[in-house]
Amino acid sequence: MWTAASLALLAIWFGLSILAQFDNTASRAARSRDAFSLLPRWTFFAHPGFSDYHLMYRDLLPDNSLAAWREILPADKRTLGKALWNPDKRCRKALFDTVDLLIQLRKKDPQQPLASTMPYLTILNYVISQRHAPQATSTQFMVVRTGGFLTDSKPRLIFRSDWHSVAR
Amino acid sequence: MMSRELVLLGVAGLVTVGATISTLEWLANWRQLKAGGLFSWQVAESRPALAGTLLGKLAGAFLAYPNILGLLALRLIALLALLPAIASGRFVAWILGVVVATTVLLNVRSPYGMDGSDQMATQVFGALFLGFLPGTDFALDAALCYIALQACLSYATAGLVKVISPYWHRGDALFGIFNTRTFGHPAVARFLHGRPGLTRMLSWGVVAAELAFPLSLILGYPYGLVFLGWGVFFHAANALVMGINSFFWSFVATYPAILYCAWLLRT
Repeated sequence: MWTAASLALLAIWFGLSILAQFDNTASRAARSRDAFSLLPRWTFFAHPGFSDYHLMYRDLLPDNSLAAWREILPADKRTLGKALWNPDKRCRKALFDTVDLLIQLRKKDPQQPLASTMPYLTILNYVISQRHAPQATSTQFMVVRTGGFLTDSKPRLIFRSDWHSVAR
Repeated sequence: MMSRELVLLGVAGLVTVGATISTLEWLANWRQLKAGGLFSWQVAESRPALAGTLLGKLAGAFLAYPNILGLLALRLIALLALLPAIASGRFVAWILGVVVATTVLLNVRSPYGMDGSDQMATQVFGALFLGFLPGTDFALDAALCYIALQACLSYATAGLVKVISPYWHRGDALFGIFNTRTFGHPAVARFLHGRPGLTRMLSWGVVAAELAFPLSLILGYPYGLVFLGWGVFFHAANALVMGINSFFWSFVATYPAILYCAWLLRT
């Protein structure tokens, strides 16, 4: 009986996995209920980004002057060792995912306030926990896009946040 | 004649190496798991799927900082115990149960930062668990066939979406990816720069190889090794150039299952 149950579960799982590759109502319904990410999406690099995102923040000081922009998680050098051990890649991927989602939300509805969305809150929470100027009262972040190693295009501002209080 | 036990050890061994590295990398990122980190549970649990739900509350007991460090330590111990358990045939389902439970909880932990290697590891460990739970020959064969089919589905889907993607139609997608600091490498970008013919050939070569990969299941040993050899080279190159190290282990772990299922199909 356990064997039959296992076979049935594997068959259902594979059937739902095929369904999850499509972008239709049934697939979206299945994926929206998949809290444990059991259904894979194998669409690697179908719509690759050909540019880099940079997350930067700056502080507002009590005399209304602004501290310089500082970059969080700047890209590092690719070394041979990173083919085996690369803990930073997960942080960079998380940053890439959140920024990409913010851009998608902005494209979908330019009027939608982003400050209460998950990607915005994720970035804001992270920015607030960074090192700030001792007298900073509030902070602001921005996302800048650059073109890559061999592209001459100028950095382009993608998104600039509101000012947020820095908790002390 | 292929030995099921050896194939199971091969699949479990490779995916376990990747999962162990991945778990150690999570532990190395322990600061990011705190409330102010990029993987803050306080933020993640506020998403609509979890906020105020029983799942959110239950998962929070394991996933809030510092409990998450205990979960990662438990996962590490279970991973280290898995291969000796499979070799001795004792407590395998229990240990795989712990690995699967910690895997899906980590999937809940953050909606961001997870990649295809996490997805494939979830598939492989989940299928092994469902195979070892009854532990019969038939269930274990079904688990290995599931892993083989899932691998073929992954490559074929990745190839198919590239065929219909305008980004890949231009033929310079590989240069575009390798030119970024996020996923690229300056030396490779410089090499491909000014060589549009080679870049187009390599781009379409990746698409063709991904689309043709399911043939490995039909051809089996020895001709199917062409596709598996390509896969090993492809993932090793991606680890070196793109820094996506864990894909190698998760995906190559499926290859012994592909050879085994191809052999089952023939016999």
